[in-house]
Amino acid sequence: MKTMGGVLAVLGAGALLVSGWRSAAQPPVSLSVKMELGTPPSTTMRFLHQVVAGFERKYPNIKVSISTYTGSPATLVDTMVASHQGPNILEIGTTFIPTLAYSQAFVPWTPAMQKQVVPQLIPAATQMDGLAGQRPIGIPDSASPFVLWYNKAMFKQAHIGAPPTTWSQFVADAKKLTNAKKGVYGAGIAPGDPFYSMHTTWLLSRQLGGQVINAKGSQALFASPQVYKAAKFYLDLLTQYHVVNKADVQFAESDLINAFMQGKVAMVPVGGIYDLTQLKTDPKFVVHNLGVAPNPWVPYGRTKGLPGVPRIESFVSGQEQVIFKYSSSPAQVAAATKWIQYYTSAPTQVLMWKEYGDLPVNKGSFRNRALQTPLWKSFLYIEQHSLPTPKVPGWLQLPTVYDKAMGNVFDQAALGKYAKGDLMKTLTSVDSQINATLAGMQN
Amino acid sequence: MRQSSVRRVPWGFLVPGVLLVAAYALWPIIVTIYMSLENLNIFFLANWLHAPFVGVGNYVAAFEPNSPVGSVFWPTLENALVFSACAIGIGLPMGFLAASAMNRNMVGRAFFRVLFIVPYAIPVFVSGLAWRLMFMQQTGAVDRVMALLHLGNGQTFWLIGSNSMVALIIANVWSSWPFFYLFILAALQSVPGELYEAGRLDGAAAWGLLRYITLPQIAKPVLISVSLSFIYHFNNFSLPFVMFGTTPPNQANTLPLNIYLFGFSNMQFGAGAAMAVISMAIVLIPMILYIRTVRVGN
Repeated sequence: MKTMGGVLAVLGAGALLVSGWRSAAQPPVSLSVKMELGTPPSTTMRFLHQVVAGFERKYPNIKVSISTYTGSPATLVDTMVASHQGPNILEIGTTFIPTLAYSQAFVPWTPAMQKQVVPQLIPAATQMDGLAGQRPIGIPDSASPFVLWYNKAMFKQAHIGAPPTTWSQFVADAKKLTNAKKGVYGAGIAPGDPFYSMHTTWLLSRQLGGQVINAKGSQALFASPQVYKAAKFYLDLLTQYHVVNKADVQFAESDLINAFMQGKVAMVPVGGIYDLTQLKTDPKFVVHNLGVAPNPWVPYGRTKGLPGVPRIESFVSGQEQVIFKYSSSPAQVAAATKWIQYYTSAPTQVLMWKEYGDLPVNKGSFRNRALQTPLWKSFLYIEQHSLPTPKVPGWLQLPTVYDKAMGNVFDQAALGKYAKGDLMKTLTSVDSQINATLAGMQN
Repeated sequence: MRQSSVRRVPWGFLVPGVLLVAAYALWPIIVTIYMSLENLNIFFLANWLHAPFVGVGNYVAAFEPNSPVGSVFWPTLENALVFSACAIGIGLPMGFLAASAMNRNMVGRAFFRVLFIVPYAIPVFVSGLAWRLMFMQQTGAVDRVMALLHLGNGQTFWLIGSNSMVALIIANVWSSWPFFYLFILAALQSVPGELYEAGRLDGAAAWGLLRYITLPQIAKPVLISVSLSFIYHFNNFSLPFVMFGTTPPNQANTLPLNIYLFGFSNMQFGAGAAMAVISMAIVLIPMILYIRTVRVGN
């Protein structure tokens, strides 16, 4: 027995030595990661340093260097793609993902890579991962569902029991809540904010069974009947139903949230979860007044959704991580996969939520008790019922043209210079501008 | 033979530096011109040298008022010209008046000299944001003050429609007029006092001194400041961007902002580059004027 034990001990020691030698023989891998700098910056850095420390403890052979960026990543991405130089991993918003996939400068995820990460994520959050029908290039690291913010106290005062689920009810409630003389409005919008008009119109037009761009991504459809109807309803909130303050036309979303916090606006449709950062500056408001609900989904004038049209209350949005092809060796791609797996693991996601308040994308995160409040359950529900915006190369170009055009339509309406027919003219012009751009894109 | 080789020595020292500066200055221009001849979008960006060559196609599109590019190019060019002209037209007299006042001995001169430079020293991101907040309808200071003085009803939109250009010009003049002030003050201080003494002896009054001594003496520096100012304002991207973001009203969408939107938001780098080259050609006019005025090389 003793001899046998000795042999086993020697074998065990040998195995340990071999594994130790193998581990030591693996060349170290350096990984550069560029993340968007959140608010406040000190929180971002504290969180990221914790993640890096945990990751390097788990994978001692991988050394991570973190850097951050602020503002629009367009210039950063353009420079990276043109110069073939950049970090191994870039964190970027979902809006960019299809266009980045089209550039072919980012690593497509193989099924083996996906198997390491995707099963742990909320399925809906992974829908905006690249171009339709092609391998994904992006993995979500946080979700940002777009919701209906409402002021619970104002609802109570107006004897409105629950947030609206139809747009007719939304208008009716907003009318009840509006007191223009006191500068109080039932709803608020931000047509001057990049993406706001595009997001709102996309949501409304999908609920009407329409699309803003065809499936191939080769033709814009803003002048189509459904999108026109959607855009008109959006505009009618100001021009026909008068439930929106004219001053909103000059608003960025932060201005709108400010008015919401001051009790000047009762409902904000298509508000981003990132508004929470601003809302949290008034903790009393968040605790006592802040209501969150899915956006209404039944088109105006109807009591039920259109037949054959899925229930759409929000769209997939958030931050994703992509691996830059030109600067990443196979070893770095493997290390990057491990990094993204670690970043999207339940403990890291819960830590991210605690630090920032971003919605986790890991299914397991929601077993954490702190995330089982009505507010966060609502966010999870909305995220789970979100659909992706078009996964076509030109998706990024659409808001640039459309938001600016709609901004000017709203400006004219606020100045009393809007004439019937202007909207259709604008949408037709948007189509021609976008189609000219799309014609130049080849695949 | 020996003398000519000695003469060549300085050239030998100069050539590497000249080549370096030329490459540094010219290379981005060459790249921009090349890009303007391509149909360059995000798909070709990784191999931008091999993007489809379209010749002058992007320029034709920009000059065609009914094309998607031209329909935006012409109004934004007009806006940029109006913006620059107003910055000079308003800022220059303000600078001249302030410089004339500060050129005399007066109580608090040191204080005012510092005060006048403050707007110029404040970063445009700060002043742009402050002006944006002040021009907000209903809640902004401008609207409130105007209502208080019965000059408005408190419902004036400054950040949309045609007023948006007025707001942009006011914000711009506020931050840029000290440039003229500094230039003109320096010029005024270099005018020899004897000229004024002689003028007075000849019986010239204030107007005569201004017309026959001051203005001719400072004409060249003023011309230089106008040239430089035009170049700066015509290329001013920061202020319109800070005040209006990427969804500017049509009336306040200036050419540099439009080039940025085409290039970096719309990712139509070829069309954006073509507009940038046209913009550069326009800026060459005051630049040539400037070079001729200062007689570079003499």
